[in-house]
Amino acid sequence: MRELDELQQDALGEIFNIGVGRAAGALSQIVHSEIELSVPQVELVPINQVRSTLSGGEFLHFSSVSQSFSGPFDAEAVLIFPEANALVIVSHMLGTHLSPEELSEYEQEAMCEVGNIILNACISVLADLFHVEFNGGLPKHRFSDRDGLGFESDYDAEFVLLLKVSMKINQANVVGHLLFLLGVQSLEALFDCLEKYLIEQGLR
Amino acid sequence: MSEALLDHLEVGVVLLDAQQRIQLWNTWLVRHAGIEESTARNALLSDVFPEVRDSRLQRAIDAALTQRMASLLSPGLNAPLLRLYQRPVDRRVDLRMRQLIHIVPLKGAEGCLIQITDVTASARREDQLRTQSTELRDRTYRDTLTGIGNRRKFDETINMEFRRALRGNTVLSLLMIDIDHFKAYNDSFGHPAGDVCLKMVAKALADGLRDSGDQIARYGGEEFAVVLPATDGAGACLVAERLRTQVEAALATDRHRPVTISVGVGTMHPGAGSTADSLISGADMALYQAKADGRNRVAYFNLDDGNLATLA
Amino acid sequence: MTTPLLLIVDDSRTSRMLIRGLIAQLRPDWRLVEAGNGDEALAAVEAEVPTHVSMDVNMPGMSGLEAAARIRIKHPEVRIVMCTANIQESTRNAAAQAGIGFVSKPITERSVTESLAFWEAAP
Repeated sequence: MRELDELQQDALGEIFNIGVGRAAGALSQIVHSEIELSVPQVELVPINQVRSTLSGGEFLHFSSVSQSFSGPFDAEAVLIFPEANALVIVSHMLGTHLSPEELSEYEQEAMCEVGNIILNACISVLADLFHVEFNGGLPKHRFSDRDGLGFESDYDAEFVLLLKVSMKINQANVVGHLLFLLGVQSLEALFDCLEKYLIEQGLR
Repeated sequence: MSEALLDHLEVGVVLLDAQQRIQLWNTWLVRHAGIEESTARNALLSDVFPEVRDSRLQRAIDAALTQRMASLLSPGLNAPLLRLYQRPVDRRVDLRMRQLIHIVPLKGAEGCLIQITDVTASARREDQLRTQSTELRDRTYRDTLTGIGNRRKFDETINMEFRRALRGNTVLSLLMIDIDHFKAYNDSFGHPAGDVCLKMVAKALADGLRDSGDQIARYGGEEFAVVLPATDGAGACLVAERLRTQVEAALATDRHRPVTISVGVGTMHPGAGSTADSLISGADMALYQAKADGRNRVAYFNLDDGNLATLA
Repeated sequence: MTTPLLLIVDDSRTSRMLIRGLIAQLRPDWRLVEAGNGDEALAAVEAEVPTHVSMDVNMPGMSGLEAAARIRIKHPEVRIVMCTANIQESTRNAAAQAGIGFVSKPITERSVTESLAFWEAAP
């Protein structure tokens, strides 16, 4: 299977860091309090290993927001948080204290918007730097558990670009993951775009 | 999509071309915006709805037209933006409907589609539930007599701060405070007077706390507890002594009904295997010492080195 | 006058390489040193005080703002530009109060030209 070399890994990490940085700015404006977002590591893993990568103790129940993108490569982009962390995010943003049972449409829409802002920001940085265009779909929110991440079956993906995201809001530190689900051809196309970018920048 | 069908939808549908001119404006919008289709058609969205300028909706439209990104504006994170009204009377007081807005780029064409859903009813229900749940939460954690935190609040606070101190390897202090001779006070002056006394002590204590995260609660009966995060024994004794003198100054001057307090200070670096109960018993132990040494004073117990002392 | 020394601080090697490449074109006589985090940056300043610093804000460990503040305390004459995608008011204000420049990421010819304008402006 393809692997990311050190420079590719570093470049992708930096691109997504710029994306989440922009998203943090937009989110801070909406909720009127400072939000920090960062993406520490980028990994490329086969889709059947995603579950074990995410299967830390806190990752029993998930809250995820997914959006599909099509362009030079197609991807399902997913922002995923352990359910408890997702609650921390919406309750800080909406100023409420809720249990999972109390989560309604209202919070799910808010969570969708948060995911939409983060995912759009990442994709638009990719599009800017690679000089390409994507078509973005609307975000979907869902709850799932470890036994079914919920998105594998919808999508004919084989690889996942996996990024750990940490989000700081009002002192609370929340960790989740950003996943880009890619088919074989899309993965190749992503590598092509990335190589073109590195060459264009004189880094290869 | 035929326009006749669009006119039957219970959502607002606007189609914008690449220049952000309105190409489609359904009957729902005529009804709720109070703007005729003939006026809207070919007008700029920002002329029909000036409130769109510089808004998040404008940025979402730009993203749809230039970057082909879809966006969603939720009613929870966005104040009602567009001047859309459920009923004509709402327009007079500018009570806008709560809006869920989707912005989607058109497939295979320049332009974007904006869909507006009226979520006023559910948002209003949410607001009510939210207010109720906040009130309930408030009631669950507040002592009705004194207005400060109750025992349940204390239990949560001490456990949370204990875990935090354990994680951060920081020191944590706790004050246990008891009103001296409260039983005799109650017996002599009656329960209503006792209640007034509790309220006054609670107020004097709350006024004496630092802004830095000190948290006070009524522990039970005439006993109060104050959690002092990231405060060492010396710092905690300073706070304790200030609270004691403050109560003395405010409530011991009444010659017939003098009120004083005794304070036990517990302090420790939470370590593996220890629990918040160790700190509570430590502070209790210091409180007994303060009582034994004559009341209206502060005693101190350091659980790290076992040092127990009464302040002069 | 000795040739200017620019210290480039960024945890991303890509970003350091981009800045290095652009500076090599725009100011071929400048000397360059790199650091991958705040601690390395402080060590580099100990070894030789740079004329200018390009500092990433968002780095693991010590934040760019803290590293910049520590450099400023000892060497107030050093001109520091912060690079970040995270253009939040609070960050911007903190930088402005410390007399520090600000450019937004990604690193492009434009962002480096803006940095140069700040570095070379009379203090």
